[in-house]
Amino acid sequence: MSYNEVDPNARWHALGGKYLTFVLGASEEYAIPIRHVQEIIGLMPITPVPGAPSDVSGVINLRGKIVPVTDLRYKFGITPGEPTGQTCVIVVAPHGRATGIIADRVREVTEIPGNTIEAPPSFGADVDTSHVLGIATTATGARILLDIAKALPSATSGSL
Amino acid sequence: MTGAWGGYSIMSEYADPPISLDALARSLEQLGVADLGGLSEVRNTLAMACAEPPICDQLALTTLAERALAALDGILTSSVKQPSRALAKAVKLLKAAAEQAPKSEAPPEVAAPPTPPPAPTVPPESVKIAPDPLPLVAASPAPASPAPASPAPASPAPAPAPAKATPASANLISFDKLEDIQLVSVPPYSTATLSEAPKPRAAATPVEAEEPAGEPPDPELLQEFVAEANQYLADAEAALLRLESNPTDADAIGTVFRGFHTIKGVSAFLGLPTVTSVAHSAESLLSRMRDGELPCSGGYASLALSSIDALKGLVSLVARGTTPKMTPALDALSERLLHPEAHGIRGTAAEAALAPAQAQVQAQAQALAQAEEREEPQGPQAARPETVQESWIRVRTDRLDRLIDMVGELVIAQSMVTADAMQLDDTQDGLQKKVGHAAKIIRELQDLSMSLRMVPLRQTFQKVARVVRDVGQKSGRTVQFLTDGDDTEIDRNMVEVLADPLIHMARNAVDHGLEPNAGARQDVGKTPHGNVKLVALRSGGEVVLQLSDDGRGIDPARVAAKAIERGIIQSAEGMTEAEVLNLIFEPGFSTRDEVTDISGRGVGMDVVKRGVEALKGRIEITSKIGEGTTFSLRLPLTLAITDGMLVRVGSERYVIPSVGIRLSLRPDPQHLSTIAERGEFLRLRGELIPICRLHHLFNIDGAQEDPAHGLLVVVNEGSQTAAVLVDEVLGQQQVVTKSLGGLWGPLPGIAGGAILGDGKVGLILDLVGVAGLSRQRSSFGRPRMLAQAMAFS
Repeated sequence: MSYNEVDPNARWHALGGKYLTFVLGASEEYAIPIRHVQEIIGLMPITPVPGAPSDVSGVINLRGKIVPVTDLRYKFGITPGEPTGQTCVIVVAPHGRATGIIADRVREVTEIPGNTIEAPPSFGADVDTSHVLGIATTATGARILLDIAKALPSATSGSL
Repeated sequence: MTGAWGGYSIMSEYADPPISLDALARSLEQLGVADLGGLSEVRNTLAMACAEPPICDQLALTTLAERALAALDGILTSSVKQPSRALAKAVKLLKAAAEQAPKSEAPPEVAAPPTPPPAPTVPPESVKIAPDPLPLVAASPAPASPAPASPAPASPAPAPAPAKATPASANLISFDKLEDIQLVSVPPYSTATLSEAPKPRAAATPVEAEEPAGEPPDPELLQEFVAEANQYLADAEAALLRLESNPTDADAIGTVFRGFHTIKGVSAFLGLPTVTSVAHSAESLLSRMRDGELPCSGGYASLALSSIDALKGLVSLVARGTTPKMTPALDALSERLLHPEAHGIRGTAAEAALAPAQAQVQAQAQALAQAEEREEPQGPQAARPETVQESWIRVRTDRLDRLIDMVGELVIAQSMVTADAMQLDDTQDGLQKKVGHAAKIIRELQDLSMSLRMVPLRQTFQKVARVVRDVGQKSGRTVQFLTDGDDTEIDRNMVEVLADPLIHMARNAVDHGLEPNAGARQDVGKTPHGNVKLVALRSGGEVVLQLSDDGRGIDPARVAAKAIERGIIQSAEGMTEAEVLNLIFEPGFSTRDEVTDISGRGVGMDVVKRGVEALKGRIEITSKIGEGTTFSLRLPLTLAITDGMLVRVGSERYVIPSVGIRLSLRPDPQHLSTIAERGEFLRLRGELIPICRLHHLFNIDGAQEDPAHGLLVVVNEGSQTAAVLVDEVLGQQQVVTKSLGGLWGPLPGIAGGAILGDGKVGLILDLVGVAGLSRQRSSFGRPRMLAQAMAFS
């Protein structure tokens, strides 16, 4: 960990930039780099896919293209709220493949300064933080910066 | 200068287009990539020019101009990464086009003097071009006068051959011009008169000398060249095969000549001297054929075909990014092409003997074609429509697929609007009319968009024709190959996969199907030459391909004996003749013991069958001993569209591919039984069919549990049969198969997704996977057919 000798926080500070923030569950605010976001659409009928990874809700028709939709709340163990008018699907394309993620509410597109970002705290085996890039603290709370590629199910995780 | 573009409505009136093209290039050179207004003006002028002579008359010019146009479009739509590079490319292309454009001789002048004076006199018009700083012309030792170096002058009548192929004098001129173009852009050839048959060395050396001067060719241009060259080579090959049976087909020889010629020109432009050299040698052979000096048959035809093979090899090297070098083999080929007589190549007598028979077959073919009242006669020797006038544009397939997707969405959106409009009262009559009109347009748009992906089977047929010819020659048989319906269209993706099984079958037909020699055929009262026929036709939503030979036929008794020997079956007892014949599709089956160079390498009809099944097709075989064998392939028109049955299970809907469905029924409870209280099965006319509960497999709540109240869809996939329990059948539907997004690997039981009529996604079932899942769940054994259990297991 040689970078610690230079500046212990340099690694997290480099994460500064424009993020889209959204709420999962009741109040937890998550952020993903805006460059991964393709579009935000309203919740539409989702077709369940038997045998797909368990955190995948199913597939939707995005203007003629079939796009899988992942429910991160399931993966993170967050109790999903009832679908409201604010529930929406954020279409991200981290590796060029469009994928939707369900959000209970989209907050804003905002600049997160690098110097507000810190390493995620460690919880041991209880809470999996492998998909968390860092935590950005604000006056009113904390935003969890997601490593979207790690948070999504991978091609090998399909099983029945 | 550019303002003069609109003016030429009459051919003979066009003033001096090369200057205009050049002026375009120069004005483009002065524009920056940011000057979108200027760029789009140049683009529009160029687009207009493309539709007019001389550009639209000449393949080489059209190609260059369209590429320049594409480059400009790329800049204007900001779809290129490096606009400045695209601009430079456009300028370069336009200059090349300007240089290749006719050197402004008025058409009558060209047509009148059949043998232009050999002296390098500079026509006055050429003076206009000379000052232009065109690199290739500048590099040329004899840039100004194209006429003396034309390959034609030595022959008494250079013009008639292409003239036959073309409806107007415009093309005759352009044809001569084509030669001129190349001679200017490929300086080495202008120094030697082709009628004097230059040594290949002489041709090759200066070309290579030119190479270092050229900058490394643009990879994009190279890829375009590869695609085009392959197309030209395929056309040329087909035309050569046509020529062999009808040596006087001037149209075909024009096609071959043009193919070589364009490849020569473009490869020289791109700095591929080896390709240029081989194409040049081939072209000189062709020009002698065209002038009637050599016949287009026997050894000469084989020679021309081998030059096509060599060029194909070179082009594939170019495709892989290497610049091919001259090899001794290529040198030898060039030498043979230039001096065929010196190498003992003749149009053989054997071919001549076949000619009358061919004439007869041709007559039959034409009679057949007329009988079927086809719009276009499809006998192998029937005159082709002139293809030069067709204009092509290559489109990336992903864009095409996206377009088709969007049109599909439009149809769904339209149907929603229509449904809303129907609910309005009659006072909104005008609206309903408009909605109906829009629906009509959209339906047409959908048909059109689906047809974009379709290509005719012609090229596949050509590949088969070549294989039949080669196998026939190698095995010492004379084979007459007859095709019909090669204009039948099929999905582009399928064409590529289809070629392999067809070629395999054609090889088998010649090598295994036909009698070993003419004598054996005459002994049984057949024509000395074998007949192989390939027919394609549309039948409902399918394409039917029939490959038949009039050979020995397949003996079911021998097949059965062989199958027993190979352990494929224990006994043929109780099997119908068709079932026995179908055994040749089993893996490890081959009716011939000896392995030949041509076929019989252990891979057999099972590979063919798998290939056909991969295309969601079926293969059938009929054979009569002593009369021949016919293989029938039935294929869907496209893989993209699945013809399916839409079923409901609980709240979910699934598409079951129609190909696999045998029947659906509401079972009588007394026909249902269980094994060990778990494995449910249906007794249907002596068969025991396991029941597969979709709602169990896919964990769907609220579905019909009782088969007697639901519906059983009996499906066949390969040798497996299953009865799938669904709530109800919603109807028959054609759906476009789509990937589920690639977030996960293949899922058992699911072949893909489709957008259904209401815009929601429906899943397409994979019957093999469903049956597999079902077995895992119920730990019930393989489905069995009582009568045939022994034969197949």
